[in-house]
Amino acid sequence: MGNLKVHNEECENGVVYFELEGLLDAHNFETLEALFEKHFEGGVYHFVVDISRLTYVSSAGAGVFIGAVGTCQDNEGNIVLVQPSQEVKEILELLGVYQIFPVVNDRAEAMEAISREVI
Amino acid sequence: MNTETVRHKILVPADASKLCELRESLSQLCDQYEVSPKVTRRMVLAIDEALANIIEHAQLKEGAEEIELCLEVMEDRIVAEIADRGIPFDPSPRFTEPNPRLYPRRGFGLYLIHMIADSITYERTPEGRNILTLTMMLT
Repeated sequence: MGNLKVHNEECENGVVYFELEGLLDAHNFETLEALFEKHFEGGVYHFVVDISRLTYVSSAGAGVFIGAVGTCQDNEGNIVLVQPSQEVKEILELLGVYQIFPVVNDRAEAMEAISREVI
Repeated sequence: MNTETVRHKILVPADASKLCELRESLSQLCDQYEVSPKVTRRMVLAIDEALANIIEHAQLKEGAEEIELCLEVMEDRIVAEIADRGIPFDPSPRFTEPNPRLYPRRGFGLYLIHMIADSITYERTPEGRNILTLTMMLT
């Protein structure tokens, strides 16, 4: 799908790491939604998502994160966000949902944070 | 900022895959008029949301698929008029207070538009056009 690149990696302790690059909008949000759904079907509810290179999120894209974090937290999991850009942070703040995500500065810190929740 | 009002008219295809190019064009246009990055980001987001809603929900018929975007850049504000020939819609936001645990996965677009725009008007014309007008102050 154009304008969005997703690197998807299964890590130890049942944690999945996504690295997103580009734009997440009304045209391509279903790509990310399908990826989350695939992992939910496999019983994975712990995610680290690096969005430092995601430069734009529309409401459709934000909705994927909001829906996914709800599913994760309902299943004792979570989504840790790594380094949201100012643009993405602003949109999540406008929607009033930024505070529901643990946010950290790098992958190592994120893996440590999510591992505490897995155990 | 130039004190003269400038009006730009853009015909937008009803195709979500083209929204990326439009956002880029709108950002460049705002740069040209020295609109601040924050206002530019928000204005582009609000217009993107409005267009995405039309593309997804307006049920545009063949031959009436283009959406007309008129952008007026004034000294103190930007006015975006978005017109389409789809079915009428209610421009009220679906949410009044953010509550993350109650949110469904979709339907945040109008809420974001209301958060961003300083004023919003909606008109359904006798000719069957929806006209959504968003005004954003520059200061």
